[in-house]
Amino acid sequence: MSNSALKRLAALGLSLLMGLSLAAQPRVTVSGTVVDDQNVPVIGAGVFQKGTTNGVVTDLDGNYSISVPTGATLVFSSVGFTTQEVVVAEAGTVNIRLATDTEMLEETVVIGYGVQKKSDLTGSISQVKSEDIENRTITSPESALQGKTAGVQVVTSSARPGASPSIQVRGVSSNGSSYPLYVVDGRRTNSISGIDPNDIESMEVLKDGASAAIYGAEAGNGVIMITTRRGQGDGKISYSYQLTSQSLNRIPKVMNAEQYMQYFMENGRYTLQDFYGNWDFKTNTDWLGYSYESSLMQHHNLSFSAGNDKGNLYLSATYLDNNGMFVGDADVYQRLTFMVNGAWKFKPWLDIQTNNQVEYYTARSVSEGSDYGSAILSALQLDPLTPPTYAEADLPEFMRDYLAAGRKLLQDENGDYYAASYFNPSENVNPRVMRDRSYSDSHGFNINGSTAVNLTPVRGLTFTSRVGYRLSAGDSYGYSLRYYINQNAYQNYIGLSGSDNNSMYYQWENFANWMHQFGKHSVTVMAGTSFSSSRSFSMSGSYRGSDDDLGVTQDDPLFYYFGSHSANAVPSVSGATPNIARKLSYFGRANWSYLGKYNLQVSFRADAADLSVLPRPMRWGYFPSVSGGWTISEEPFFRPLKGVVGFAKLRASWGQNGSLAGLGGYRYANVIASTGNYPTGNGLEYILGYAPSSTGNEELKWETSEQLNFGIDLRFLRDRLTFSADWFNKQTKDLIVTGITPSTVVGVAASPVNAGNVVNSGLEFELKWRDQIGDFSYGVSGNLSTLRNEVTYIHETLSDGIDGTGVRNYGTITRFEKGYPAWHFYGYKFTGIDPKTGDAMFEDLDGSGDVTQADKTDLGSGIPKLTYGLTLNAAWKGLDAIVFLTGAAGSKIYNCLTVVDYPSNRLSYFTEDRWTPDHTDGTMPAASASNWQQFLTSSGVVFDGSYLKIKQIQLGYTLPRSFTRKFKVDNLRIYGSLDDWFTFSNYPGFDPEVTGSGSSLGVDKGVYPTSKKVVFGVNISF
Amino acid sequence: MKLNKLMLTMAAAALALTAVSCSDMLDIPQKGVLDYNTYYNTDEQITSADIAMYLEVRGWEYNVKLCKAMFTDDFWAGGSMRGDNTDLEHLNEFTFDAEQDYIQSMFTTYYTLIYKANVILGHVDEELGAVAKQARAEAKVFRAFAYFDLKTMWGNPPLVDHELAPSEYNVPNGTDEELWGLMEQDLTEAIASGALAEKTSVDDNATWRVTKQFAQALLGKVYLWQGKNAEAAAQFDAVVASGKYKLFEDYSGLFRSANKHNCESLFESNRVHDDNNSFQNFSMYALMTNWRMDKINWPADTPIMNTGWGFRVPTKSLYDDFVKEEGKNGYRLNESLKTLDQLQSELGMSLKSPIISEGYFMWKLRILAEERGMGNDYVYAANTLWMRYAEVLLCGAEAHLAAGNADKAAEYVNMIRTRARIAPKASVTLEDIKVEKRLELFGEGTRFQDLLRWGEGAKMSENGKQYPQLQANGQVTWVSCNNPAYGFKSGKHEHLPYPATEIRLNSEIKQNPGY
Repeated sequence: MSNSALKRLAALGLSLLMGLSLAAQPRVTVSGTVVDDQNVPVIGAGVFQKGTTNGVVTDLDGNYSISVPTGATLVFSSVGFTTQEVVVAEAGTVNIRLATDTEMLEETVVIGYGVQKKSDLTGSISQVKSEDIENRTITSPESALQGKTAGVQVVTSSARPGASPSIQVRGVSSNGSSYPLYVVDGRRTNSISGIDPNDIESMEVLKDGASAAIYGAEAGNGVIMITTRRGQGDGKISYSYQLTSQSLNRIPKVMNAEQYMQYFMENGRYTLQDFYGNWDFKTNTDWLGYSYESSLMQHHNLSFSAGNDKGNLYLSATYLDNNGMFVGDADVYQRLTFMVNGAWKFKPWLDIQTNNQVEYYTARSVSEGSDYGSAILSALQLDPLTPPTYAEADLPEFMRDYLAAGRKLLQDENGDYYAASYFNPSENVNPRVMRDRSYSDSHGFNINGSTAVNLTPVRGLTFTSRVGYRLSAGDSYGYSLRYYINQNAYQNYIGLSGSDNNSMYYQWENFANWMHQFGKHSVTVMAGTSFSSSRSFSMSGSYRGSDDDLGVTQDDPLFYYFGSHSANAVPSVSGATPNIARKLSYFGRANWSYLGKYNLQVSFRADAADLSVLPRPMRWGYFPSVSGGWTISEEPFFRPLKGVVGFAKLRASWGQNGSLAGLGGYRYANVIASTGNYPTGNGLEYILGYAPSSTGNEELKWETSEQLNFGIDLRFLRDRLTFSADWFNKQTKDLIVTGITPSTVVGVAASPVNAGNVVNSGLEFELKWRDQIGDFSYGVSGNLSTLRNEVTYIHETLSDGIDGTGVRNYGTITRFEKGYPAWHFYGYKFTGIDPKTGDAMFEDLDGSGDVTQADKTDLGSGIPKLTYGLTLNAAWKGLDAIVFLTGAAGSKIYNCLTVVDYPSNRLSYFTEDRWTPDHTDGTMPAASASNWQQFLTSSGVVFDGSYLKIKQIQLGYTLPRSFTRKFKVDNLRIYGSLDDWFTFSNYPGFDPEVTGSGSSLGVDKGVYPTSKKVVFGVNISF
Repeated sequence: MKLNKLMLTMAAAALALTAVSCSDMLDIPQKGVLDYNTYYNTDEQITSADIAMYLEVRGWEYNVKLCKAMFTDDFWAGGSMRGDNTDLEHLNEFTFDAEQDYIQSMFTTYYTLIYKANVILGHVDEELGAVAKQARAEAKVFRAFAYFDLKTMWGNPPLVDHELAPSEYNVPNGTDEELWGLMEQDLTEAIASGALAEKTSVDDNATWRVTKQFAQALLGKVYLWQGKNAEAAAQFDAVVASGKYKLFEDYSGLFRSANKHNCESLFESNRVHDDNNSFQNFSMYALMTNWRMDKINWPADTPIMNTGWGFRVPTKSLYDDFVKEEGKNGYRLNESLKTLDQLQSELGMSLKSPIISEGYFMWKLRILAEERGMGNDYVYAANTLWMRYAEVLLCGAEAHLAAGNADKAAEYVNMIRTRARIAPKASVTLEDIKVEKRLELFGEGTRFQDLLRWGEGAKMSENGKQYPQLQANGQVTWVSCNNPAYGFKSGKHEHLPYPATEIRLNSEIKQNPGY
């Protein structure tokens, strides 16, 4: 189905759903007061005539008055209470006492090796429930957190099919890996991308140091706990289907053919003569249009669910097929997942639960994210004067010469030749050549899960032995073709490559929970041990031909396999060294609660890393925490306020967590490694060279984060309004820095060092309102977080900072530097254009009279100062609607989409108002400016990264049950949605949301942008 | 209750068991590496540390050799058109800054070599025997070799004579005395050690190691640069007196892989054809420097490698100096440069479309198809000569002339001229030596340092102000960049900039003026 047909269908469906309405009629008058079980008036409770829209809400004293026909049923409802129904016999007074809905107050939160009542929490934990995840177009669980909780930033470094975003909890606290620990049903993992969002029951983010401390050494960047679905009810079969049409959202503007010609004549690179000879003065190729098309994503999910007090079973199968927007089938992600979750209470003292997941995926992708060239970047940089293809008869002379010289030119499906650009012979060539010149795909499977045995030998004591595992294997296969397009992009032979890897991870954890109550005190104690081990093994190889040898026995894709390599093809093999990593931990936690009013919690974890990570004497890390909560709403003095503020709690916590920043591979060790072999004569006699590969660092230790958190939880108006706020200050000490050379004169790469401190602090607010007025229910939930990030200390061996990423050879553009946010932007301060020469001018900060490298300075940071999300939902009868938006403010984007090494097309932003001799007050450098490279490392290419995205506008309709029951259908909902449709931003690149990550945070080197989506979906259950 | 107690016990036991049995499992040995603290004990280990230095130097071909050529008036940063390699253009036109990648890599590789030498000097005990003694002596020569370039191009680079501890990472600029002193001391000790190799005879082409004569020649240069002319002359004379070197008869053949370690070679990096280990010989040098072959029509049997980016293009001023000295048909000129006409008449080639050039093509250091690695443009098997006898003679001539021994100077220069098949001179001036050195050694990485020493950087002051486009018909059109920013600037370009990263990471170092 074409994209426009889909849009029409969605529009039709939505307008049909909107057209429905109903009416009502009055009779006798009934009035009264609604109170709770403590005789406090219930404000804003709904009083409705059942089955109609006739209804009122109680006033500030809990009073109501309503006209109904006699014999009608009145329904009294309010959030946090169980609903009551009364049949009206005559006019008069009906007073109602609503009972508290205990189920809601007792809502629990997964906290690691246990659960806790939400009301007893002393730390800062955010929760995302399945209803926030359902019916979205997200394909990875990480995306579900975006905009739904405060303090969690989702960093998308590519939106290609199958790519997972990374998550930063409370800022950038490391300059290595800043990613949180994921715990899926108790299994620790660093990747959750294979879990289908449909299979998730809840996600909890342990944000503060105390909550996360139970995961000690791995929790420095926060912990995300994922609980997958459990079976419920007496047998439910659900199927959901989602069809999504995706297309390019924001289209960066580049010069058209005429502008290009004008520009590069001004630049001096070409003369009019060049254009006469090599352009037909008609061609004006839209390379972006040629590179992207609208494409489809389909998502099927089938699940079976059942459960009772003895046990439960949940089975699910999901198929995801996402063919990305890049033209053709070069960017595809397909995933098949199965989940088998079950539990059974075998004996009163023994129950076993098991969660298992099987995932199979296959993926292909196009190149992106390199300032030296990618399929994404080429569409922006190719000149519009070159047509996409030439028929053989129309080939320009220089391409004929290629053919005459025996070069292989790639052809499209019609046999036309992909055009080589005469004007821009850079490594960024025709995007479809970049797609077609090589083929590679990857496949793999993961089988993972966890099984826990719970023993309850005596009342109050539970002993759990839990094994988690992950078995995975993957392979990739590819070939690169013989082709020629210019001196920077060619290959004379067929290259074959293949790789195969497998890994096995298991963890075994034993822990005991003991609960005891005496008098008004309640105590919970947990203690346990954990051991984990992983082994991975991979091998890869290649065969490569030469000028004189194709590399394969036949030039046919059926022969592009290792088995068909030519006799002279050069083989290469690497890998086949097993990687083993293990970890051992002890942990414990104690909770004390008095009258449910005062809560105190302490926890401790000790972790030991294996030798591949840290030197033996530095192996152990110790991570304590303490936290407390005071539910002031339980205090007698709070009574008068209870009518409005039903619940109020103050929280405070302190905790230490660790991080190894992705260490491994013995990088601290000072070892001797081979540097190659040196021939001693004409023959093939070699002597191997050996030298130390790094400085070594026997002092390397755990990176430690220490975090202080204060929070308040409030619930107003019978819990319809909930509010929580947190302030945190997180100091990361002994930051592990890898891959740096301290000073060049040291002469050898540095081993990782504990090199600095970073502080993150911020405020987080979450506000939720939900209410129901008769059949109409609605909710608003919003969250907002601020973040201040600063590097506060750098080890003296590194002077005051570390260089991060650069752009081509133009220089370093990000730095990890004392006094600035982590990986802040670094460059010249662009002050305008010299009206005399058209050169860019920069601030001479040191007053030396010249602009030198010493004048480079801070140009902002890719870390947003403010992130927010807002979800509005409403439901009336069978109709429901969701609007979800999210945004960020205060961040910057470093735009690296323009290069000057070749006559590459440039963003119109940089060319439209350029200096020319006739326009000397232009705001952008002249085409011929001598310092373009400096300009490209200056604030002239740094943009405001603030954006607001409406991620979802969804309208759904659930068919009346009375109707669907006829077909044995319990529930049938259809919906249409516009996802990622509207983006508000001034950024001239593709997508302000998708830039680099890590030391490239906020640096845009041309990555796969987020598509806009039209969605049609159906949910059905039996 | 019995059952419960049993289970409790079991649970506790399981807890304890995981804790105890697993802690040994954390000691996972590392594969494929050796322990630094116990290495450098056997002859084999010491040799491997020594070879690591040879490998480091071999890697210099790409950046050191190419950069030094770019800094001169001998070459254009070529390509098919301007902007093909902006980095090389910046080097050639003196518009580089401290962030410049090539300069950073050069600086880095010198200190990497120094580090590898320091490791040997710090860890190899000379009591271990002959192999240890030789490795130590070679380490000193290599260290001086690196410092010579650092000193002559950067001025006062930090002096690092041992492996640095983390507390020592911020090293200040070295003084002239310290730096020259270390080089003199290292070379003097190495020469005196008796541990360096020496060729068995002038025909010995199996000696591939650093020799005593190379150390002496290097020491000669160290003296010459300091104006210690008599001392310098003595070192060069010692090389001549050894009788183990002479000028190779076939002028351009001396760079060919068939003639490796020939009688003229004092030190070279060795490469071989080995298709199964082709990336052991990885080098971008051939591809970067070979002619711009996609703009040239060439016959099927052309001996020249048929790919190339043409980034090192000889200038007319170089050609003119040749013509002035030996005429258009001079033997050495013909073995050094080819004109576009010669490309057509001798090689059957023609130009297809414009390239950056004044119409002259490198022939001396031409890139031959047969020396290219099999099927791979990034592998090239010809050796890289770092010093040859001709340089010894020319440096010797300069030292002698300055020390007042004009006859000896003329004698040395005339040895060069004789091999070049031009008439000897009765006497030579410094200017004669300068010209002779330019013609003899262009492209081999000595001229930039020479011009700095002679105070003639201004010869590059016009670099980049305009550049030539050679049309297919042989005509040269000039494109003016018309910007005063281009070209060598006195007071600044006498020194290269310390890398920006070094300035940022090393709080003690002072940047050279102007950067």
